[in-house]
Amino acid sequence: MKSSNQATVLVVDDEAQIRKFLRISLSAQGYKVIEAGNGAEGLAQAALQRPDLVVLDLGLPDMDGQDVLGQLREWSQVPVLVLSVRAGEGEKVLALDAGANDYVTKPFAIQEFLARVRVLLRQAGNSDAPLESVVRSGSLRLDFAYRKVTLNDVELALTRKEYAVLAMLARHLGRVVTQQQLLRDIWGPTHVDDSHYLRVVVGHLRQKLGDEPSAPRYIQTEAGVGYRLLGD
Amino acid sequence: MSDAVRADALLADLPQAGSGRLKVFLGAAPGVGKTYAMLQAAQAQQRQGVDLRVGVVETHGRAETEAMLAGLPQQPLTRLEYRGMSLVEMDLDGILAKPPKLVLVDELAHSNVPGSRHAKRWQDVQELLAKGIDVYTTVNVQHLESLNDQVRDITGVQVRETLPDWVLQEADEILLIDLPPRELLERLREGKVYVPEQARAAIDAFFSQTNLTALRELAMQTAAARVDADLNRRYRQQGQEAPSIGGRLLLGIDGDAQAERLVRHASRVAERRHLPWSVVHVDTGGERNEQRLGHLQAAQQLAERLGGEVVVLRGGSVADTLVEHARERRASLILVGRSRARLRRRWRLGRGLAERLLALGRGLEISVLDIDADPLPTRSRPDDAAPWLDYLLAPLATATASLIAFALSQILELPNISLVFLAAVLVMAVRSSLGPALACAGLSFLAYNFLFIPPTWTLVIERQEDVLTLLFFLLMAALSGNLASRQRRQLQALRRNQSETTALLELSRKLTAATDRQAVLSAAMQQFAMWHELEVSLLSRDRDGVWKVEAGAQRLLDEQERAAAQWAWQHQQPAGLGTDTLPSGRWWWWPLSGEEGPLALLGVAPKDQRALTPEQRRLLAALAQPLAQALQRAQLAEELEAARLHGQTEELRSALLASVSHDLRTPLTVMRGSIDSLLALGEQIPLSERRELLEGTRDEAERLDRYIQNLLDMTRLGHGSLKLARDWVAPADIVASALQRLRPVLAPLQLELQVPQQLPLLYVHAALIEQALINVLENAARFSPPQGRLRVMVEADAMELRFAVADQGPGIPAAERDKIFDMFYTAARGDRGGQGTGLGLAICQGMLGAHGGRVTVAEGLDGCGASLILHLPLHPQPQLSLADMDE
Repeated sequence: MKSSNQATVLVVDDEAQIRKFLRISLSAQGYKVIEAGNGAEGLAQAALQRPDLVVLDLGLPDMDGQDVLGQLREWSQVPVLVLSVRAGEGEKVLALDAGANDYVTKPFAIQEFLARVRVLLRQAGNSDAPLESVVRSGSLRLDFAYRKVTLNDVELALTRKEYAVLAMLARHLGRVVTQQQLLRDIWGPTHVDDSHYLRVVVGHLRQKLGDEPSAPRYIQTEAGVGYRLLGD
Repeated sequence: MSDAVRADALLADLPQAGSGRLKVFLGAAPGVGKTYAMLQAAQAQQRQGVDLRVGVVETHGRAETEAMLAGLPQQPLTRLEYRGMSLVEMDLDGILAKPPKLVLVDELAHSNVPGSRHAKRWQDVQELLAKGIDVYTTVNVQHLESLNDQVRDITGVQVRETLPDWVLQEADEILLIDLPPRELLERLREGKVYVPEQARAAIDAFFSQTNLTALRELAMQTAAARVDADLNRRYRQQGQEAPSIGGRLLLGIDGDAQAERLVRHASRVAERRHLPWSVVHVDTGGERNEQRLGHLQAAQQLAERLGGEVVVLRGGSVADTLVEHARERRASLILVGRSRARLRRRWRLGRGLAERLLALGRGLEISVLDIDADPLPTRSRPDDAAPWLDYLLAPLATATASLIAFALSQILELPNISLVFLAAVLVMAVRSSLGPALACAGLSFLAYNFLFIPPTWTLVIERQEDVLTLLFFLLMAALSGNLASRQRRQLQALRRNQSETTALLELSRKLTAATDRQAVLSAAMQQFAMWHELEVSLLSRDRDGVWKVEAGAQRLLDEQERAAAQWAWQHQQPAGLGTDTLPSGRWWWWPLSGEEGPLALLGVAPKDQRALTPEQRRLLAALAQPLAQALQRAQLAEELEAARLHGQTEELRSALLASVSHDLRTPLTVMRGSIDSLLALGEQIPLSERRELLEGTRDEAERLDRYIQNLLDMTRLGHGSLKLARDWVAPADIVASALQRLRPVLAPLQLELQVPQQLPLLYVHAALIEQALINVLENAARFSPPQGRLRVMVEADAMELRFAVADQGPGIPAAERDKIFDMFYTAARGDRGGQGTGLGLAICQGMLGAHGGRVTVAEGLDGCGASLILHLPLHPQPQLSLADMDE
């Protein structure tokens, strides 16, 4: 298992300026950076260099970013962070469904980008280890083994659905989970469009977590995409 | 003399825009040297460098003429196949393909080979003139339409190739080529005049000294009349009163075989006396038959060709109606024809008309032309009798009446039985016409006598009173029959009249309601659908010459039909079936023209391949008028709308440009300035300030991003391509997301959040509402004082949910509250608005509007500032079963 600061990141973007500032930032954080200017080159580099993370721009000159993702996923489970434009919620969901692990919306703050990179690399690194039985975020603690949730060491009384949603978000701590994924896994495939279930349950969860809805500390809404349980 | 009249006269003298000048070489007979004179003039023109071409010239092998032709560029003739013969004609298209300044066209009255574009060569010339090409042409005086009868009377030869007088009248110059008859005969003897062998006998008779003298006089008169007209115009141009010409000539015609002759005469009289003239037909509701209608129609068409006005009046008495019309139009002269044959038929325009006119028309000049002096064999009189079948009905009616009378004879007294027969006569009169009614009266008289007047079963009458009864019966039968049949005729005329009026009224009613072109066209088609025997189609042609069937028969037109339609469109004159231009088609094309050219083309084709009846033609023409007007109106409305839209688009575009230049440049200026400072000064700037500059750059970049998002949204809103991807959303999520994105902007303010825990869900496109909220928040932040309070409040009632953003800024004056959401207003402020509001609020309004919501303005916090409230309608909340929530 590599330490995260020796990890290799492949950046696939056609804009040299974007590649440049990503390279500088990532290098400053101690990552090794490989660059690719188009989809074909990106796939070749991914096969040759076996990076630990791929940063993939969806708008590439030679092929659709979604296709690059699909081809990559045929033979590799490397974490993929997608760069997408705003108002492209559908595109983001599509990419997440096709196997992308998270996304950032252009233009993005570099801190946000680096945080995503960290989360993805950490979880990829952990994939060999057994699942953690306890997840923490601030004062929130979730014990999978005992199905127990505590906030400031006080146990919360959660319904089954509330627990299921929180647990699923906790397993992807720091990463986005799409609304469809939540609905499919928790309510079943016939309910993927019943987004209001999720809104209500998340509303209750936030109340119980004492989360300010307009400035949440724990459960963040990704408009049009899904939810994210914020890490520390 | 009014200035307007003078101006008209001056204008008439100018060559019309785009029209060429026509010079006519007029002669009295073939052989006077017209063609030679024309070629001579052409040679002179060519020496002056005029670009000319010979369209067609008949030299008839004359050496002098051929010599004169030498050296002039010629347009090769075109060859046409007609009934197995190969014939040549002037190549009109060839000339038009590369138009010269001047074209020579011999024999203006020539009839083209069937299958040519126009029936007559003068129509070709009209087309050349319309294209701005000057034309030299020749014509003999006997070809003039109005002189046709006179020439026939003089020479005994009927000239078939005729030329409408107006063609000559509109010529810019007429040159009389004169040769004394003696010299002409000399030339004829010397073989210098071309005479086709087969016509030698006729021609010899034609070229007699007397004939030639008379024709020469006619030609001179024609040229002189022209000089008179020119003189008149000069008078008027100089502002002087022309020699008094007052009044108008009215010609009264009916469907008589002589009507055309009368029209020609009237045209000549009018021309000589410089009177405008009208051809008036008074429809008394009399019987109509095809032949009479045909004569009438032909005469009316001739009148139109000769430049007369065609008027149809309805009235009981021809004389009264004519005189009344004459007074209305200030006519000075009424001309009628009089036929001796008419004396026998007094119920039509006939004996007594002239006398009645004289009696009524005080102060009017009444002129009567004896039209029996007709050297041509009189054509068979139109058969105005009722169909023979009606005569068969007469005995049948009598027999039926006899049977009924016989049955009733036990009850009725003898004199009363005649009433039964009288009834039969009346029925006949009403059902048929006068003839059969009279026949029925006669038969009834006999039957009554035979069957009922004692002694019965004989025709003998014993008692004197029975004779009287019978006589009175006959008188009553005749009178009532006459009365009834007249009544019926009037009724029929009324019905016809009414159906026309109804059709017109109906159409104008429909057209009034139609506001755009499509509505006008469909209203018209609806109206034309009443003719089941006709196919109707409305076409239009775009700038690229592509035809489009706008309504009606969607069939493909063959080459010939298309050519006729094309011609009608270009020349704005009817073409096709029954006209002079490309008449062999199945369709009749009638252009619906506006002030600036054709608007549409009305096509009519009889389904049974027959010609259109004059009745149909007239009604179609009458309907075409309001239709064209409606189309013009629709087009005008469309143009106005387009102009308005264009203006708005222009306004918006410039407003946008102003806004873009301001809203995009401001952040760029800050970013550029900060980065340049850092690059140039680097270490000299204290660390904390370096950080400030960098943060400023980042904040401006984010602002730029928001502007771009707004521009994108506005484009989507403006194009109507905004698609709502609605989903259930928690209002708090929208607030959270917006605050998150605006964190740096809101950082210097005291933010107060009032978002209740329990809020209904919204069914909206979350990203758009978020953008609207961001725009409002950013606007509030921009106008807030430093450390000012900014309150974001969400509240809901049963109907709607409201996001309210209140600040402590300068506020919005009440007068401007409505305007700030107006895209023009906000955008137009651009640079002038200082911290221009940009497009944000307008977009906000657009986003809310797309969701059925709205934006309002209220007072801000603590009596200052403004509060912007986004209202969104609430949808019935989705059903949640406990099982789904908690198992």
